[in-house]
Amino acid sequence: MPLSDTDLRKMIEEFGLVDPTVKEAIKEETAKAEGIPRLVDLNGKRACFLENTMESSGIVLRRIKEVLEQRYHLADSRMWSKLWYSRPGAPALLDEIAGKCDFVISGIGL
Amino acid sequence: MVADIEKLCDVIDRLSETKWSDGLPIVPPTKNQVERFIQYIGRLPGDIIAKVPPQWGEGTVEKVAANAVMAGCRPEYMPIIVAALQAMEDPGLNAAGMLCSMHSAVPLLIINGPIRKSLNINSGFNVFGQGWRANATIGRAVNLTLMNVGGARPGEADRSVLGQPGNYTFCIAENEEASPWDPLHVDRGLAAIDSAVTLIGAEPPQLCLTPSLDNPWDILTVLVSHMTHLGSVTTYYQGQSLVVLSPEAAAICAEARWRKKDVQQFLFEKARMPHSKLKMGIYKDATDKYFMWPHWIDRRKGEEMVPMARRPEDIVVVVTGGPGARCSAYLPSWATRSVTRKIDV
Repeated sequence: MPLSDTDLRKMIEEFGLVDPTVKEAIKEETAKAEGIPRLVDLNGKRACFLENTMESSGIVLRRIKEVLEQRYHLADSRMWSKLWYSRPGAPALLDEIAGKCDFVISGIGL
Repeated sequence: MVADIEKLCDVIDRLSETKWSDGLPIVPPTKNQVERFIQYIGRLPGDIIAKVPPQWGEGTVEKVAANAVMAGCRPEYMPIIVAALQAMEDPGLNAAGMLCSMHSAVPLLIINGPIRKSLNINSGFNVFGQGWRANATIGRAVNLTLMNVGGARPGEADRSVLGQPGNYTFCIAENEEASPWDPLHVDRGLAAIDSAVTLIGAEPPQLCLTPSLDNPWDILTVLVSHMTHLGSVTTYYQGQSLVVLSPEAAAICAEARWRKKDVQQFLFEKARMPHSKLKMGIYKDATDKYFMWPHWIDRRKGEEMVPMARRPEDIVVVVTGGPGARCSAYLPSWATRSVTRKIDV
């Protein structure tokens, strides 16, 4: 059975160990995302559906797009594609999306 | 004394059940041990060596040293680990994508230069295998750092479906003394007296046995058969792949007056598959998306022959291993380009 965090902390103190792990960076990124104001209403908003070029990503996102278009009066709704699923979105693409959309739904898939 | 050893074994046993471990027993990273490693490279514990993929955690000197201790390294290995982690930041390597992917490629470390000898890094018999502390623990230290600092834990950020043995350790050296050609780091613009580490995303080596073949055409044709298969992402995304020639295989090529770039050109020209066959592969009928293919490929034509690399030099060639059987190996890659970094010793 894996050691509990409490037991591991005890071991660190008892034996004078250096914790080799880093958690802060991941927490910082999460905090940044959590700090972004949430939209309270999608009506009148511009939607971006960013697919990663893998087939099932596009299938799911196109369906989500259809559903949201039926349920809300979106000011704009369009699909975007990353150049390549294995790499982050190009900065120019992300800037363009940021300028033209109020919210983004993205997803990965094979 | 025996009681002390028993207690140490108990600590190792308990630590090996934590997320710190890769599943193998780890050396306890005591403050004294970690301090030895920090002192060796003469930097402050809080100095950042690199942001470590895939989640770009801060790889401070202290954190990296702790992982090196756990891996079983000697302090003298630290400069290689530092250089490897810094190379990991290069966007061309696409380390974050590689380490999160469902695919199995992981960064292979290829060591060049005098440091191979001074640290007894294996470039002979069983070069991809066991038996050398430096190869085993340097590669392990890098992988532990990717896991503990970068967050590349299986099932978490690391989504590899099958993984591979190189997830534990993946570190070789080039057999420069037995190679008829310039070593890899010299190809990359460094001096022969420099020491360097090259990172390349790689699947496990596929062995090509050619014991009775006595000319480059035949030996490389066997390699071509390994390079042309439908299951490889390299085929579709044209990342840099790795060809390993044993000293005997390289010597046969050199005796026929082949240069390294002739080997690369041959493999580029011969390792090709028809577009129609590739359409049966991993992304069925979607090969029009593969923009990394050279522009001269007419994607409208099924008979068009597609090379396994975008350019000849994207088939990276190194000479390593021991004598016998004129072996070669092919290591398919991923959407990644290799990166070479000088080691500050």
